[in-house]
Amino acid sequence: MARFRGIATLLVVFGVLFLLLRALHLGVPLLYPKVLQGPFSLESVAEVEEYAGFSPLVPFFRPATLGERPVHVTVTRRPRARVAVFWQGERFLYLEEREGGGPPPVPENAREWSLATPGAPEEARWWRQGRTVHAVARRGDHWVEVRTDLPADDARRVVETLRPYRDLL
Amino acid sequence: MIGDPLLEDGVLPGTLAGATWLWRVALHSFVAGTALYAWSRRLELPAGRTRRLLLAAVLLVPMATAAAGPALVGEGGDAAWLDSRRLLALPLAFGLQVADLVVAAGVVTAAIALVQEILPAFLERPRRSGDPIPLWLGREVRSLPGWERCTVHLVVGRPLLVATGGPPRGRPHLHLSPDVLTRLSRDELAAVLRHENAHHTPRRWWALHLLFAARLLQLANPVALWVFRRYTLELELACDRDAVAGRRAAAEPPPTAKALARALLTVYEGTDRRDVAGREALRRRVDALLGRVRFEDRSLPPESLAAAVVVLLLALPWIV
Repeated sequence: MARFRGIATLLVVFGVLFLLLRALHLGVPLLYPKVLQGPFSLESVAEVEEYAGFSPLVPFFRPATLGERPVHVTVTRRPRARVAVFWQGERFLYLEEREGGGPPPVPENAREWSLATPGAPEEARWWRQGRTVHAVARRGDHWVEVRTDLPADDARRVVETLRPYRDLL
Repeated sequence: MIGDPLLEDGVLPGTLAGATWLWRVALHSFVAGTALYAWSRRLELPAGRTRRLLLAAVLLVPMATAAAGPALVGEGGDAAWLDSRRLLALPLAFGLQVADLVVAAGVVTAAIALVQEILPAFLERPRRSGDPIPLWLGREVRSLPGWERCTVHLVVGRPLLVATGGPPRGRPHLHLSPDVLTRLSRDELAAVLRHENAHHTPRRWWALHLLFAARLLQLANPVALWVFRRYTLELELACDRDAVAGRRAAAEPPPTAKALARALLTVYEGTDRRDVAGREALRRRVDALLGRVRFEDRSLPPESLAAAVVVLLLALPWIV
């Protein structure tokens, strides 16, 4: 055992240090739950603001074919808070949203929607990929990516009617 | 993608991966440094080769464990023992987070390293004066082992400078400022020359250069700054010891420890008072020469050192 002199001490030192680190890992989120980065699976869009720090944009035009309520609401906090809301009925609608940052990538063949309705996103571009309509819209400093198999006109109305959830209540 | 709160999204993926790796290296070196420091205190390890190897491990092992971490615990860090992103996201005052503090500490550390070490190395390079060297000095230098072909240069621009250069297998160079010849006695100068000669071994040269490269990669890591300075101090202690022990010396009797200590005190008096780290290192070297610091090259068996490195390699990747 003389050849491994001091190793027992080292293991004790490491054990104590790692227990302290584990206590930090588990204790910090108890004191400040916001340090958890997620992803968090939420019950409803109403909880999003508490986790993401902003009220998500949701469309007040939602065809009945999407179902009554979203099947997934997910928030990831870092590196920047992101919200993903997914409706799935006969048709689907997927919204992914974040506050700030650069614009999401848009292909060159994307076309522009001019949305004149007051309160609508300031800019929106869309394109098709198979049966799916993709769109990227900016409202203030919020960027929203939309994917849906709704007809293009309905997809446009979805984007046009994106408003903060707080304002829709 | 789940990324790092230190960085905004939209940056190049390589930059994100590089910054994340650097942060993990700093974190791992902090944990390894704390554990090994506590261990060496507990065992009361004396100065010597064992301590140098432990310092080298703190500088090198985290570079491997930081790279291995994501592969083991996944990018999300679900299996991590400690997910440091939780700590980095802790809020501070004025909307700042711990992550901002970490970035600021990294910038300050890099600035200190640049101002104190890297810029002076280029801007304050001693210039060769071209003056002839005294014959007795040339003879004394070339009588030392491995320095039979050593070239001696007198330099201007740096007071009380004695430094070696050149790779260990090549032709060695010795730089001296002229005031060394007037302010040090022959005994003191002989001790200083033996000290410089002790630096000039392949193992020490390669180890120091490898660690310096690792330290340059970790320019913003305060632990690396401290560890490298500590390593160089330990190396100076070892070379002092070799110089007065005459382990590598030729037939002449080795100089006394007191002569080298007097030379160091002369350098100490000529060192700027603001250079606190430099003066502290000189004080410690004098203490060691006067027998006030314990020194032992093999204070731990190699098996213990290898086991310590294995423990670091196995444990650190779980901290992300």
